[in-house]
Amino acid sequence: MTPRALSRCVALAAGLVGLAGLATTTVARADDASDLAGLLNETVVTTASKSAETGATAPATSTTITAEDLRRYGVHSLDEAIDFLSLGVVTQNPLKAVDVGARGVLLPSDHGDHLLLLVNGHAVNDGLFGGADYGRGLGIPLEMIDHIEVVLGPGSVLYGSNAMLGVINVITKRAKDWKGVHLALESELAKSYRVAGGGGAQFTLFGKAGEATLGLEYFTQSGPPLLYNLEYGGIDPVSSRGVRYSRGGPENGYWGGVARNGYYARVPSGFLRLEWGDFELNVHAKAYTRAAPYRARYDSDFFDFDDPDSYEVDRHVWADLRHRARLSPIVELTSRVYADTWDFQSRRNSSEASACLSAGDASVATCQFYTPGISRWAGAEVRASFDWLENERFVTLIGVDGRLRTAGLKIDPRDFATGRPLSSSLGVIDRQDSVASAYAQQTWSPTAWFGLNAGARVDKQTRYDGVFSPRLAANARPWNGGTLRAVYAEAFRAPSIVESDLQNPIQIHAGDLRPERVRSVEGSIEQRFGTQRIFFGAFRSWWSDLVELHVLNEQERRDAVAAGQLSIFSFGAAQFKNVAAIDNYGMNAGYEGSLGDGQAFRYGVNATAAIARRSEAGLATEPLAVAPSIFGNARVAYDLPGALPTLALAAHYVNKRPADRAYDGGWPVVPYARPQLTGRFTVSGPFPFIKGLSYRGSVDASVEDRGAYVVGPIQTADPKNPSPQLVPVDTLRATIGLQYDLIP
Amino acid sequence: MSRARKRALAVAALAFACFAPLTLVASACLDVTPVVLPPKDAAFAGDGSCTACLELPAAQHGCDDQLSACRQDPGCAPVLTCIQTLDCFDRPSIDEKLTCGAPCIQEAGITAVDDPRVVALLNVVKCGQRQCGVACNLGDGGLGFDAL
Repeated sequence: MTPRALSRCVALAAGLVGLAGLATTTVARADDASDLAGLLNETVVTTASKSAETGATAPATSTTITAEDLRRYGVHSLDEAIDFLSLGVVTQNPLKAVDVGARGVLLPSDHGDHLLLLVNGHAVNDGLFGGADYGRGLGIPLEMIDHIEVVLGPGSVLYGSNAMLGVINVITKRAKDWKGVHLALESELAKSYRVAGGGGAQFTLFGKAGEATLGLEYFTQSGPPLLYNLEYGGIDPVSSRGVRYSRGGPENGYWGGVARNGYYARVPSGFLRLEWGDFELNVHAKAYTRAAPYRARYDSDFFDFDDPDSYEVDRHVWADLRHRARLSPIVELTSRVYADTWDFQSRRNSSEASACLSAGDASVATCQFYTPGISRWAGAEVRASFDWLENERFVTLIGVDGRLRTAGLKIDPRDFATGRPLSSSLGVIDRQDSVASAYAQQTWSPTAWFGLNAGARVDKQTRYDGVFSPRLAANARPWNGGTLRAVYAEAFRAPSIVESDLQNPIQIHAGDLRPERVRSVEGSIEQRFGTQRIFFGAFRSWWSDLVELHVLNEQERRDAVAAGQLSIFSFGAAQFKNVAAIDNYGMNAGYEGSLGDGQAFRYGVNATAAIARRSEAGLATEPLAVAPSIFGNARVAYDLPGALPTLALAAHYVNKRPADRAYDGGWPVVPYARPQLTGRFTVSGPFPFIKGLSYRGSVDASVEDRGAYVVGPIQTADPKNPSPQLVPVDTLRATIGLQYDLIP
Repeated sequence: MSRARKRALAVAALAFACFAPLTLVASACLDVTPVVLPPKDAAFAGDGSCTACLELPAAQHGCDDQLSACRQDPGCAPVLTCIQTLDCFDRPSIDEKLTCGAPCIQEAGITAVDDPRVVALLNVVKCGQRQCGVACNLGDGGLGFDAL
């Protein structure tokens, strides 16, 4: 996207907002009922400053996605909620772990490690790679989610590492909103099914009120069959015959076909929330098994095509115990202790003789690269809030957070058939580290129409120097319903343990990596007219020290060989380095509202246009691969009267974007994924004559059948393959579901 | 709350109470202790057939001309001596030959495959591919050294 195009988009968006404003002035009635509805529609967020405040006055742009939205628009997972309902955030799916970006910045195969994902305030990004599961692997029953807060912009000021693009907080329901017993059964026809159950109850124990909510879920998906065009991978230099791409298959050098076995997922999970007196306990457990039939540079250099025995498993169990104490009318103390155990297993099977040579024995028919990794961490956080004037106009928040972590990983090359090790473990990681953090935030509302929020946090970790993350935000409400906001914030991402510690025969140790940094400024205007809300914001951010797997140039390679870090025969060797920077700017706009009795008619639209260009010393700047520069969503829903259903239509759009290997594959023409438009029609409502039983059905259709990730053995251009093959997209999906709520 | 609902909730709680510890225990059992195999040359006793074949005169389908070229090169000779001392040519597989010779190359300060000393060594290997493919288990295609 060129600056001129962006300016046109900004002008167009401003025009749309203006038109919307005109439209809303005609539909919004400034009567008492409308004002009341507007007040009821005012979103309350708690994530941006760790205290409840309206979305308009929070120190960051945010979207609140409610449980009703999730049900009304047929949402099945967090990534769908982001794409169909949020402002400024977008996901891209390589069929495995979802990548998440915001406001024009999306880093391929980061698996969401530039966003911080919270569940009831507990960070769930893993301790080894730093990513999080935004798809089905989240492992929280959708029916149990009360709302999702999507906070845009750097958020390290209160949350530390990873909150570069923003913070997403999934809040589960309280018992009063999920009392009784609930069962849900859902199926994406011929592809997946999900069964979920749980409930909530309030109780009194030892004279103190308590409540419990519990959810259990099992999701399984198999397929759909995906078509991969045949690619010729050539002659295996070790066997001197065609490369073999399947176990027991022919040595003819051909990869691809219809994948029927190697695309699946299974996620059993459970979530428990207990409150008793001033205590709150959250416990989550899940196991996420997944496989995809593709082969790509970033995730899997090689493995057999459509192999069901090549898969990954994440398991995560965590517990978070919180205590709130009101020490005086001014002071509230919140303490929490938490512990996580997360592990990962990857099995990649290859029947290529050259792959097995690198595993240690070219004579085995199929070799397996088995990678188990584990990370455990535990910590404690104490924060105190001082409401000096007892009216929430001058509030000081201070807190400290300490965390200990241990992590281990290895890569075991072995014979697939017998499990016999073919060589000693590679890439061994054995790391213990700690993080100590302190933060402070001051909010001040000197008048009813003006507020300030200033804060800073220092994080000191074993592996890097202390990082300072400040934020300064101001908001003004100079006229009725209008809010102006300006924010400056900085954030960072600590290099993951894999980035800082992994080394193997073709990857040398990273040495001293610095944390990635981002600085951001933004300004926004929001106007409410009764139940209508219009938002427009502009932003700019500067990213530095981005960590990437840098392929060594010849001189670097020679130096590494001379230093004994590499074998002379190691080609294509790489190293994680702080290599890149990003300059990013653009705008967000959104409009949402409702009309009619009981707000039966609801609608909304969000749009983002952004420019993000990556720069590296000695190279020309270029747009970010995979990151859409224009994206957004639109939705409309109508609640038919009585027991009739709710009809909803939602759409999500991303413009054309460079493929993940656009710039390093040597393609004569930069490969792009074509613009993608996905629409979803959902019908939901109560089942007639059966109290408590409800249904939901939806149909999705996408216009393009290819995404933005290069798949197959042809990862770089050659004369016979001047353009790459892109990952297939499931273009038609139909889902039906039943829910039974047994409410006392 | 009715007895049936209480029972349903209790069953769900029990299921979770079992599932979470099971996941925890499974996680605790994941072993990331590195596998350490003894070096492949720990008890290596090659039969010398590869070296014997290479030492044959070119007229007898050997590679003594290439070996001589290397031995006459003051840079290549010590590397070849090191490689022959370790019986690297007689290792059973290509990757073991490479692994065996790596310390010799490292010791010589060679950092690139276009180093003249490596070129001389590779000429020996290429000759071995042509003339001693069976004795040296280098096959007809070998590692594709031409591509290096």
